[in-house]
Amino acid sequence: MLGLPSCKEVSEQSSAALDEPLSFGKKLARKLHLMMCEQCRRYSEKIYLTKQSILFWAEGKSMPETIKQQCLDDFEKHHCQHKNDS
Amino acid sequence: MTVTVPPDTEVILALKNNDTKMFQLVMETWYGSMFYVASSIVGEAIADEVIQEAWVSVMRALPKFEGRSSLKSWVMRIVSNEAKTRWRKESRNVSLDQMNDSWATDPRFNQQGHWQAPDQQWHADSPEGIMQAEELHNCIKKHIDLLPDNQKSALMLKEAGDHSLEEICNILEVSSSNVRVLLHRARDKILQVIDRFEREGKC
Repeated sequence: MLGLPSCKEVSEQSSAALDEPLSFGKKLARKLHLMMCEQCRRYSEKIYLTKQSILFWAEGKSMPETIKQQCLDDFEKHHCQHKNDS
Repeated sequence: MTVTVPPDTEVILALKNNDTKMFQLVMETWYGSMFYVASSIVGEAIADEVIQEAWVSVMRALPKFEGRSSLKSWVMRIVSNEAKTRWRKESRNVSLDQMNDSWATDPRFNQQGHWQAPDQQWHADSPEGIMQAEELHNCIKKHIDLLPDNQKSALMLKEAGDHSLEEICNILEVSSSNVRVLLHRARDKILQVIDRFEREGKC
């Protein structure tokens, strides 16, 4: 596409752009590509949504009662120790 | 599922004042992220032990927290450090050999690197909308577990742990260009899982 990055390259850049800013040249070339390529625009939206969905999924895991109780006990112990020390 | 944690200053003050309710709120809200960060480094079997140790370290180090990052990012770094220490003891080996997957010959692209076939939009434009089906949660879990260790670790450290690329490089002992590749391949894999679920309604 007129010396612009391929769809495959743009898909990689769409992921990279979620983590850090692209260089000026890459950003411009990607933008031009996206203006002309609906599928890459869609991919770019999807990879962003995928990132958010993974966090949503991870945060949805609930804490087992046993580990919850152990952490709460540790928390209490820490403060008892802290009180005794001061 | 959406529980809001108060601002960092409020949380820190409450934790220092032995506020068990606040501790419970933060501990439960961040558990998922902590679990997947820990398990991506040491495996699921000892992830909870790592979390427990991490909370003890957090409480010890809290008076020294300087607020250079968010409290959650700081806690996540403690989790990954604890996990890494544990990983060294267990002598597990994350190898980049697993990087040889099918990216070079991905059938979705033609030889010029352009899309072979059109794809369709997803039915929703928010994670809440996308993740409505319980089956998709299980499906994502299944496919994240199937990722090569290094991709899974990079993905969880980034998305669940909100680590910077530099931090991920240090934890996984790989170069920054490798981390970018690992992240893209892992995200792309999960994107394809969601795509298929949207298209066919199955995992």
